[in-house]
Amino acid sequence: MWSFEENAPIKLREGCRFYLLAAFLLLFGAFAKPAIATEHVWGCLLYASNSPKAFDLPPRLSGYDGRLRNGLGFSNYRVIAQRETAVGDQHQNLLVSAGEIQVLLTNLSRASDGKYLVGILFLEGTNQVMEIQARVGERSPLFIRGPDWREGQIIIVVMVDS
Amino acid sequence: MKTFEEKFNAWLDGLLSGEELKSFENEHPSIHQNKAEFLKLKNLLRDNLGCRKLGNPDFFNSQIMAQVEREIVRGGRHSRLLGFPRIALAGIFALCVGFALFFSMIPRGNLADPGSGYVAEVLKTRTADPKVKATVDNQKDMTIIKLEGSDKLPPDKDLNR
Repeated sequence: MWSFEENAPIKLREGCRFYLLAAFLLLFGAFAKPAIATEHVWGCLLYASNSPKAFDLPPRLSGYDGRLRNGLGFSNYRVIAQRETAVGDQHQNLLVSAGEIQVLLTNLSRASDGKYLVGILFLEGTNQVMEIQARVGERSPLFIRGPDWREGQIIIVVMVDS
Repeated sequence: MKTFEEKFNAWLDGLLSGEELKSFENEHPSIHQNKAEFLKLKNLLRDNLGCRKLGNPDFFNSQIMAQVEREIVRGGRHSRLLGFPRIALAGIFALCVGFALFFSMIPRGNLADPGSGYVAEVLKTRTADPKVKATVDNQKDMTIIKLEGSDKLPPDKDLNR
């Protein structure tokens, strides 16, 4: 019986091994994630009001205008501050701040299902207002309806980016 | 029917007889005059153009057989290049490349709806001030944590960048 391993020319066998290696590297490379990945988390402070001005939603929240209007009851949204943070191994990362309002990321870990477990701390000055533990998907913004300000409210948005 | 050459050779060898000999000699009356020369020429040809035995007859056979074997090997190698293992490996390679390209290049999910695949699940909230309460409003493709009871920020506070 003809055996490929025994009878194939050496160059052919080496060529086949190269193709197999290249194929598997390509296949697993497509699924693999970096062993030490730096995640990006986007934080945003919005001022929501019913003033007659036009919408001013950041591009990352495009498509949420109707939902925000229905969910929060405000027609106008203006960006007060926004920031993208590359999360390293620091204990706390400042996500976004404006005046005395600060939003910190206290924890970020990726679960086995690909979702993220995030810890968020909302401060006013040095006073802790609220601590949140949440499970979020990539590009799934979490909205926090914060304190009243002027004729509207402060809305905190936190979103894990790829 | 015999040709002239056949009859002539038989006549020279003395193999014609009877009616056949008589008719052949009648058809060619001048043939007797040159018979001696014909016989001389025939003997000369037989002596010089006869089969010559080679001293190494196997040499040519071995050369031909070696050439045949070379051709067989060359043809076999060519067929192995396009053989089953090669085609199978090429198929596996193409399949792997196809899967890799499919999963890496083609986005998944409903692109028309930015909220598709939305996941935001609040596991725990804790407020420092007991007067302040946090409630979770899970809407379709949107999760809102509502902070109730917190102090209103002074309107003159500058929150702008």
